[in-house]
Amino acid sequence: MAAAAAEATIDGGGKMIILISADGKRFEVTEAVASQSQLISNMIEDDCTENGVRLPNVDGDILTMVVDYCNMHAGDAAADGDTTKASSTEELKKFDAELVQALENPVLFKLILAANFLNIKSLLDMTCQRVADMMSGKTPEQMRETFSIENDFTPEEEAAIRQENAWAFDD
Amino acid sequence: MSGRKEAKGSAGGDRIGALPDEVLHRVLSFLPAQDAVRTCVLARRWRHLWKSATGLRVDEDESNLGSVKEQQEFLDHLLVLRDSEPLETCVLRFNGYEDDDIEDIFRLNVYFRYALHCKVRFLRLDVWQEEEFCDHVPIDEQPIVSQHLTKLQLYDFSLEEAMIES
Repeated sequence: MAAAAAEATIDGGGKMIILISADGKRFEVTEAVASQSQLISNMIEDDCTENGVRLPNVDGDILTMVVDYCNMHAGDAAADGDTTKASSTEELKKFDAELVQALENPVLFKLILAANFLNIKSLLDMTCQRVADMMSGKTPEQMRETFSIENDFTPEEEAAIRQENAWAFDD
Repeated sequence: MSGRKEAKGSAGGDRIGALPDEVLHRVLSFLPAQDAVRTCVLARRWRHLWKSATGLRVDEDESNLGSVKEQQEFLDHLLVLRDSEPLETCVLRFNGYEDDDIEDIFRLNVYFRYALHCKVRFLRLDVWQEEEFCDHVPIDEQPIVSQHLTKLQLYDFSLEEAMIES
């Protein structure tokens, strides 16, 4: 996991930039890797990455995952539609699946927040899909249990909302 | 890679409600429409979130499809109550319609236009016909104009020529 920064230097792909997590951990990545984040891509365009990019709401642990993800996917955007990458596509899928499946919910949510803040659409979609997979096909009661959601409706209120939306609760 | 363990206290897992609206809209966009709507009873936080989900998926992964008529009540409600949030993905799948059922054809066309109106980026409309020689569902003879659509999949529909402009 900590190999991320070291790998990036081998990658080539132009200038390096430094990402700094909330707890002060530094990650050196290529511009190509970092610009998968729309936020950072905009900063690169505006020429304001020279002193490192501070990410005050992303912890080091989470940023490690984000950087790993971006390193793995760095070829994606450029080589879109390139069929010679078929084998690595499989590899990527496996990497992605393993990345999200092992996570405890609180960590998954932090990763979602980071993907949202950094504006990395593919990572955001993948992590949101993971949450949706945990909800899919479940009754509201089971969903509450899965995510420890506290039901703050009174029984009367809940019954009224079910009644109002009966069209979605049949069968 | 293993996730960092955190104490599973009573409130520990309920961070999902702390995610911003736009993120939860995205989560709901990946759910089958019925599951997404049913989240309205989870808690106050969830009451109206489904209305702005950026995806609409009816029977996307089902093998047992409902007919246009069977889905009608559900979709009528959903489309009326939904906010005008743009749709990234819209997948509607149905079992075959009655061959010359004007109402079904009308409805399918309404869904089609609705999705375009919501600036849909990926639209899949799928009408499963058991018999091959059934008529295709005709789409209105108006040009399909969209600046947003990037992917369109129609199964068992017929388009008049020169309908697709951009």
